Amino acid sequence: MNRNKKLRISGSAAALSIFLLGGTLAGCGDSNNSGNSGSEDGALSLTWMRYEHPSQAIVSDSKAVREIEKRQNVKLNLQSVPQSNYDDKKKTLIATNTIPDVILVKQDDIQNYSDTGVFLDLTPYIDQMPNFKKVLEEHPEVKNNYIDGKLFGFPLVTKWDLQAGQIPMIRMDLLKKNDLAVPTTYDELYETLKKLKEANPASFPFASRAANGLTGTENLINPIAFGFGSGYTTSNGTKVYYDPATKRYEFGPYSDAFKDAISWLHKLYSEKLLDQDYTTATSQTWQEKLNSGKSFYFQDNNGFGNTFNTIMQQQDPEAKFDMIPVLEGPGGVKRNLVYSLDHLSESYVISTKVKNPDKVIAFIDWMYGEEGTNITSLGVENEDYVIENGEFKLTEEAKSKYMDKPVPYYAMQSDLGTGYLGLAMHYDDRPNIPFQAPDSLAWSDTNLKNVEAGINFRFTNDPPFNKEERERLKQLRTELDSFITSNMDKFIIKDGALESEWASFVEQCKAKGADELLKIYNDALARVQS
Amino acid sequence: MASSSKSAVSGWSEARRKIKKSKALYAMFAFPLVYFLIFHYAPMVGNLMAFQDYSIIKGFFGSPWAGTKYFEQFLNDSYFWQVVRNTVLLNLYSLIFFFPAPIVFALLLNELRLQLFKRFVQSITYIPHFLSTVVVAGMLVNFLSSDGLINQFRGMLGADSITFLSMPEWFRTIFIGSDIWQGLGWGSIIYLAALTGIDPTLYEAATIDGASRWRKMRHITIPGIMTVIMVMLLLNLGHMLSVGFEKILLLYSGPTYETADVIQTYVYRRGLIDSDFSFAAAVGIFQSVLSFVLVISANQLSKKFNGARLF
Amino acid sequence: MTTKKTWFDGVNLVLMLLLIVITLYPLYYMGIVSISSGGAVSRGEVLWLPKGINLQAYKYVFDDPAVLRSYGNTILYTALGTLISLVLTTLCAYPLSRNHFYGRAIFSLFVIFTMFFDGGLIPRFMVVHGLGMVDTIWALVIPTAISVFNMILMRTFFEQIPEALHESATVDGAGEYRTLLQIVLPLSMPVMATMFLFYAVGQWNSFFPALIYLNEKELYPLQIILRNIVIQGDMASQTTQMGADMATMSATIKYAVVYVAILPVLCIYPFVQKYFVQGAMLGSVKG
Repeated sequence: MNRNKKLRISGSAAALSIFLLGGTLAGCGDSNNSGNSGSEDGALSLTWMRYEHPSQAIVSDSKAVREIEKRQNVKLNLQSVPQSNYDDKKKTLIATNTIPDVILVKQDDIQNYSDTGVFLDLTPYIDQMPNFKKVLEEHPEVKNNYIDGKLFGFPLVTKWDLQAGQIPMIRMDLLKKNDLAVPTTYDELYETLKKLKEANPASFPFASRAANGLTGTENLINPIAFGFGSGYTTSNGTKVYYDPATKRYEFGPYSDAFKDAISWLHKLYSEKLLDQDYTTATSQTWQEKLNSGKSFYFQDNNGFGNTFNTIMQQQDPEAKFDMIPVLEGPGGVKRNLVYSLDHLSESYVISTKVKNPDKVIAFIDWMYGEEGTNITSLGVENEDYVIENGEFKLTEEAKSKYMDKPVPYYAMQSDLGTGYLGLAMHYDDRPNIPFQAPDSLAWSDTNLKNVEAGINFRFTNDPPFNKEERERLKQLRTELDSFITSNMDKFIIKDGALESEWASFVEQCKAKGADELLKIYNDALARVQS
Repeated sequence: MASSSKSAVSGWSEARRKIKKSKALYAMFAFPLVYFLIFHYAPMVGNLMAFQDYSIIKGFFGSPWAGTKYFEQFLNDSYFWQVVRNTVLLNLYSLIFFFPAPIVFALLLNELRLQLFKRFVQSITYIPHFLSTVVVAGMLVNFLSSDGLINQFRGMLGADSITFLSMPEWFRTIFIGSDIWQGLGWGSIIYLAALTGIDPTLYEAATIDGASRWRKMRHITIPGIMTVIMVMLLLNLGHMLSVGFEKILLLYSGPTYETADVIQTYVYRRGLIDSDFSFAAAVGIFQSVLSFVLVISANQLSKKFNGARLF
Repeated sequence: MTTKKTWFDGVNLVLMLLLIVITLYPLYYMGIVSISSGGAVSRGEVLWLPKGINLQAYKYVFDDPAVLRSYGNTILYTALGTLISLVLTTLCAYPLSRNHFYGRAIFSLFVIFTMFFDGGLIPRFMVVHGLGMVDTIWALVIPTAISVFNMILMRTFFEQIPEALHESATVDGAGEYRTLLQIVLPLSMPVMATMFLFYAVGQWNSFFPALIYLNEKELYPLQIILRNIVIQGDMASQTTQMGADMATMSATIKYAVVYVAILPVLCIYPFVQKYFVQGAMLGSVKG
């Protein structure tokens, strides 16, 4: 009996160790951060991690991957992580010092972790990179990415793309139908929306949404406040903004123009001209309203105009959203916010554990050069596309292969491994042109012209902060953000709040450190500019 | 002296005898023991972060000490106490409304006579458990919008439309109501399992005595599943300081902060600005200690009055 | 047992019917959206009946080879994970349910303590990485094998088995293992079925361990891929033309995905249900 029991115990101990060992052994094939190993033929093998957008699947042996292996003798082992949770994955890998050879990160991550020594400092290598050097010269804004004079990431830069922005878009057909003139100022816009509401009492003419990591409220106030001559948040939601007029950061609520903008929004809200659910509107509910004729106006990504038109015209061939000229604010200001073409807040960083950085550097420089850019943006010339008189055209083969897919552009990009959501670091979006409606192309041209004319201004990225500044920012933002966020909607929604509480609100912002926040931003900005 | 050493000896031999008797059980428990040591106790070293300025390269054993700096950061923040209050209130309401719902549902199901219908109801009500939070939140936004389904019904009754999601007084109702919708059927499963343990002869005897159904429910059914109810209650008390915050993130907005902002959303927003391992770890310890103390006290109380216990 | 129809039965029936409607409508709504045309959905026209019926959304979901592959992975992870969880949880719950288990209180505390204190993601990742489990199935099925919550429930049920049965088993010369296998487990079928359901569904729905511990897309479970579609449809970084192109189909795809993900698990329940028969436990004691 006793012997029997002993046997049983040792038996279970053995089973236990097998159980654990099994786990460990099975893990030996683990290739997570195997590092790049130069094999005998001098091939370079790189683990390469980026997020995957659901529209464009990352294919591990896409054309770009094959071409890169053929032309550069570099074997890319792509690790794609769903974008929905990329941050969790990325932060875990960084915090445990187990990042792959090359990984796509945000500028914030570089700010936070550059002093840990996880990312390779690229500054000493820049002279070895003729192509990248040229890109740096063409994109002087990259200087915002330097931290204490050092560059850690290869930013995603754009060679060509459509220009979109938070532009006033209105149902032009309804204006005609109701004999209304195209509004030219925000006051006229208010009158116009009011008339449209009278004609359609069940409607909420102005619709907005939460997008791009900003809340519905932030995404609504941003373009309006900017158009009124003030502004609200940076692209990451900090409650200061860069004002091109003063060439420094400003705190919106300090200015009268900002108060005017909020008061204008309040007027719209209380007369039910503004979507009553704007605080919680998602992209989906927002689209429903605009597609179904419940709303007629948006000041958001103008690219949606074309999508809405296609859907509406299935039922009403006349229906049409169109861009209206930049609206004039109360003080005679005329300006719009548009998106930056480059994605400078996203960069590829190289792990310091990489064994032969020179080779990796040389390869990435190639990615920025002519050949690399074309392979990772357009595909292979004469197979996937042709250039005729300087014009980009898809080959017949490519057209017939993708045109009947649900979303042809992404199906193609996914196969080729190209584009902003593919492997490109210096990207050229001309493959998008054949899939775009003439309207979109025209809108993009208008936007670009207005950028040159100094009417449209692009969102700018934060200047680099030092460690103490970052510590302070964290503290300041945690306190200020919740306070401002919970108050701003009150001013828009509640009658009388603006008149009675505005002054004390601004006082409290001051007390909670708005001035210090502003100073940190402007000091950092001054360092970049000096 | 002699007697105490004697009792110590007998205490020892007593212990040895008991250990010997439990040998097979120890062998069984060895697996879970190793599991907990490796996957739960070893990672607890990570809590050191709360007292450190955590450095990635230096790790848990080499990072410089920061004392209680991170604890002070939130303990001194008056807004933090408001989010603690919101968290506790949300859980308290949830305990009052959400916790009993599956029990009542299980009891009602138990009273259904048509077996087929009973199974049908059961199968249907447990489906919502499978929907991810994102989907549920998306539907809530849709149905609760000012021209959504709920307001359309209100319109039919002649009531004004309400912007539910921007009214702080509605937030807890919406949050807990949708929790009940999603968890009612799933939550009842464990009680249904417990109901199977009740001896059918008890009911037969009661019927012979002429007991009404209500009396049977009160005196047989409910006492029969009381232990499970108490254990579930104790387990729930352990979560008084945490909330399924993904749903809150998707549903809250400026106007509802005053009731909707909870500890995790507060930490989350801070983490967005700058990933802050030490701060998050410090808040985590704060939550753990309070919940642990709460559950231990509740456990002692429950042991005394009811006999149900966690340990 | 004579049964009398009372007002209570009527009320109960109505209540249950109401519950069915409240539960089913949102599910029905998702169903009709998933088979309607994207245009009609984004005009908000689909509320009671589908419009422009088509299976485009399902085609889109299954067009991605990753979806089918991940289906297979999920089934494998669920099967293995549930098995390991059930075995380990039983091995933990049974000793803790025994009165004469010396040190029971301390061991219970040892286990329950982990419900409240953990080290967080980073040290856990380091342990799993250190064991070489990254990019293997083990990372998904072992580190989360025991849910203390489930373990306590199981223990509570084990404790309700009369001590007399244990004693008679001991008299018959059965050791703890035989008692567990031949007496306790057969008597605990309802709770074992429940645990099976809890673990299987938990594993089926889980995505976070896979996200953190897997790098190879070939190993991804279904939920990772679906979650990306569902979440990103709404929250994509839509600063360029890009966001607009995908916009129309997103709602139909989103709900198609929901159906793709939940249909298989719905089939488990009827199977589990048959163990929920009143008196099952004691009935077999007597028999």
